[in-house]
Amino acid sequence: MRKLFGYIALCILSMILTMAVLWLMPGTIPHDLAALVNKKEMLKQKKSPRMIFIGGSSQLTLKTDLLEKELGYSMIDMSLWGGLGTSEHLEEIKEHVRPGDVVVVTMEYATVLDPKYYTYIHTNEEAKRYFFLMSPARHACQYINNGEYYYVFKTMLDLCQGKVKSFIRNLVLLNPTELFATGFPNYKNEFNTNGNRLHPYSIHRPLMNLNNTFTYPDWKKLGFLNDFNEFATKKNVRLLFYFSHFPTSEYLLQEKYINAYYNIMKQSFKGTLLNKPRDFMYPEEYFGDTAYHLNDKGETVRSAMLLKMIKEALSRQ
Amino acid sequence: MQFNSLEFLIFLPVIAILYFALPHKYRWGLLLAASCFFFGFFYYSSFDPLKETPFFKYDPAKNKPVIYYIILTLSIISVILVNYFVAIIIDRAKTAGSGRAKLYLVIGIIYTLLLLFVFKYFNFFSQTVSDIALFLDLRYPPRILKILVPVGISYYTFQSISYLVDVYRGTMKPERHLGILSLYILFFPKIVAGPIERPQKLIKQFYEEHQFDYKQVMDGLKLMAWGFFQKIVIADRAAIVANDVFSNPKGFLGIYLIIASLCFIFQVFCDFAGYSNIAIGTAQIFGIKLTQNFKRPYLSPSIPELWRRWHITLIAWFRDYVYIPLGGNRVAQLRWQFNIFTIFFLSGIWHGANWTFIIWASLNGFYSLASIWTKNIRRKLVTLTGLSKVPRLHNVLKIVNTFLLFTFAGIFFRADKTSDGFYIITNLFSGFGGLIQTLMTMNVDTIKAYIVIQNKTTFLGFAKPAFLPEMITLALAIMVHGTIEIIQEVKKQSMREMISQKPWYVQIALYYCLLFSIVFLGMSGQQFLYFVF
Repeated sequence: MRKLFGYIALCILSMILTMAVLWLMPGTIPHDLAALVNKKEMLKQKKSPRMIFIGGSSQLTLKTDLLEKELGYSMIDMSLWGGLGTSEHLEEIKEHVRPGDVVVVTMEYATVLDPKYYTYIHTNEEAKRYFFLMSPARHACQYINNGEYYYVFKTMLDLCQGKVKSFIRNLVLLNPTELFATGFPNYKNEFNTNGNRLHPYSIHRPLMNLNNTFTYPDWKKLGFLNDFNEFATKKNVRLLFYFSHFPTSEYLLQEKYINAYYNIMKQSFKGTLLNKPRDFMYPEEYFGDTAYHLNDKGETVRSAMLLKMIKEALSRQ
Repeated sequence: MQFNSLEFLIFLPVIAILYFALPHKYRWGLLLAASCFFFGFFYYSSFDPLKETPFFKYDPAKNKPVIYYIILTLSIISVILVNYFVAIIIDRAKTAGSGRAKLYLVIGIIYTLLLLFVFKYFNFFSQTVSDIALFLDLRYPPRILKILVPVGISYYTFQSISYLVDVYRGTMKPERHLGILSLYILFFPKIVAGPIERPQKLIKQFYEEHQFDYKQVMDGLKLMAWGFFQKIVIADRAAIVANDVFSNPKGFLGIYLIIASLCFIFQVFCDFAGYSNIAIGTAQIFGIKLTQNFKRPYLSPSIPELWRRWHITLIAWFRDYVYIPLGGNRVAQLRWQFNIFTIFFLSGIWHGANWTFIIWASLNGFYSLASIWTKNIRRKLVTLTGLSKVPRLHNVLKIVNTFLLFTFAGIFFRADKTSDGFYIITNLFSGFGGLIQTLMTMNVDTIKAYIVIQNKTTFLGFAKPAFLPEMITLALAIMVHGTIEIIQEVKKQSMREMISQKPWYVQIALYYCLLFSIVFLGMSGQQFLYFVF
């Protein structure tokens, strides 16, 4: 029986070693959220002063080239998906912000006003896994301190599995250069150097229903913005916030909740508020496939307005 | 408890260590307790009160989960007790020559089948009667029983029947040890999805003292590893494609219907054969030999041959307890053909209370009969085309033909509704003209726009970026699996035996690859397909 246990121990050890090797090796992971790694690299590399955008996919099409030209900041669009959670996202960038940076935050309405979606965001395992990939050492320490050893192992295993699948794909498709890339495999084809989407959202009519049910907001769920603002102030970083765009028809249906959201922000938010929700209410023709995605026409208008708002805010400094 | 769960990875070594540490006389008790725990844990961990089935909607206000547990427990205890006492009185009646043995046998079988009917078929039966009544303009609302089907009921029902029939036939003595009989029904490696074991083979093994045998345990572990490869690398990956397409077949072009049908046919085999291999390997660790359930069915040159290699223990059960009592092949030609079709029909019903299973099994029955009817024509055709001169090519063509026919029938096995099944078979080639035209353009964007479904974040069940890596992995895994099956078929030897003859470093390399693929390419969380039968 001893021999058997010896073999079993050897098997376990060989797999742990393999996992360690895979973890340390470069490699892409075939999942959209792996782009967080590429975006983090971009954040580390861009020169100061920088403007860092945090938000969901609604902000991915922003015309940051225009903003860069007009404002003179290096642009970093860290946005990816609303379901990632803004508080977690801000936590991730904390150690990388530098004095003089400007952080611009927006949140899709559902992430604040739909309690079901809010719960989903903050219990979403995928988001947790890819934030772990973004800063493995920090997250591993946190989980270990909380006694969640198995979770650390499981997350690392899941991420290694993704890497292995990418390796196989690159080997079969004879893609040797991709073997040593990191993050999202298609990153260069889908994002520009500022982290914006290269291709606009496709047009889909009627706009896809996201089945959100809005209710009145709760400041407890937004308090993290002030916490970050406090941190940012100490670091000589500015925090700007703007209300996301929405189709006018949807806005009118949800007006009381959206206005309550604006009022609560106006009263309690200590950073700079750039706009009122009504400012970014657009006709349906400005939208792509959902109420959160602008098409090229809509984005041109939104980016120009946002540029004006940021300029004004920065000049008030 | 599922084999592909962390709990099982802890449960198995604990039970194995206790088993070999205990004196022989207590081992049956340990295995029985472990089996009850295994069975109970399955319900505890997988019972989802909010899950809706066509016949069952959980209402927390009215239904209490504990009632379901009590009903399930009582039903299985009653099957064991009925088997125990009926077998003893059958034996007494036979010894006394009273002639009532047959009556007792019938009572025992009816009780066991009645439970199966109530749990598994009553709602289907009631719904069908209601549908017929509606068709005839009569009013008969279906009476739906809100109960959960006990896992593995079809398997332990058949084992119970074979026990009673064998006692009646005198091929075995009734088991006087209630604990051993309970273990025969509940033995954890095979309780939920077989193999369907015969009492003569299994019961005596519980009485034998099994010493720890390193080679046997290692062989069992290797077989389990192969089963896990089949299940979590191939079956669970193929399931994602099949589930996506079969849940909404009208949303897909013909090419996807074909891909999903092929994925399903690999899924169903690797899932069930994988389960059987894990079950056999697990039992082998305890020194108990279960019956092989699959013997490379997809390399069969004919449908009847495929059915001799597919779910062997079920088909053997039907052969011994239905086909032969009906007269087998020692009857008139027409009656023989009726017997064959009956077996397939019953096999369809056994698989589930749904017309899709009945159509699937009937199609296979029809194939078998067609192979009898067309025997002479096919022989002439082979001579005429010259295929008889190239037997290897002929054999390959027969294997491909058998596989395609089985895949075609498999569409009904997987379809959620019969109408879906008919939709799929009539649309397998829809959109092919457009696809060929698009391919001719040789423009990547045009091809992509044609084949990728827009406005969906997933493609054939996978997130879009993961689709290609997952499909490449699946294709490679199926190729490796197929190659191993072909080598085993040609060499008439198991791969484990062949590997054991290789130098140690080759063995280590091969088993490392197997382990690597399970750990790093395995999918997690999918239930075994045959658990529902």
